[in-house]
Amino acid sequence: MSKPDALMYGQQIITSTLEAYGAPDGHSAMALTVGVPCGIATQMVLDGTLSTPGVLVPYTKEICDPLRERLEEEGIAMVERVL
Amino acid sequence: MEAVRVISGLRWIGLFSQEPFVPRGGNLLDTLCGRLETLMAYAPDERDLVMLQHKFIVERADGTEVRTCVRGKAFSALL
Repeated sequence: MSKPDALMYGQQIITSTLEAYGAPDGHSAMALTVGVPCGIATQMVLDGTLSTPGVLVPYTKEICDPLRERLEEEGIAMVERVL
Repeated sequence: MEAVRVISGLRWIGLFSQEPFVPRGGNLLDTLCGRLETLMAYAPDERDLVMLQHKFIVERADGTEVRTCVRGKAFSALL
């Protein structure tokens, strides 16, 4: 474990954690966590939800929020905890 | 200790083995990939774990939040 970050008065730590296990007789967690987001993003382009041309990076709410919702439906979700 | 680690790694990958060398694709990269596919294949009932964690230091004042991502960690392991 690394040394905890020094906190100033009034500050809190929030962690956002993803934990994914592969299935012994199915897909690996590595394959799912790489492939499913790509598949969803591709579907969003096909549906016209993502219609901006060019190379897009997932750094804005417009791109990330719908993607994250669909990922959660697929069982890939972050869990937030306040420490 | 570092030397032992490196030598064990080279032994693991088969550099000192008597097994015949299996070339692939006429190049070293494909040949290395072929070797790794054999060595790193899943054994029965094995599965992997992917973990990703972001850590935020948050300061709350008057209902507003300031969030700063201080660290993102990701790793993958074979179980």
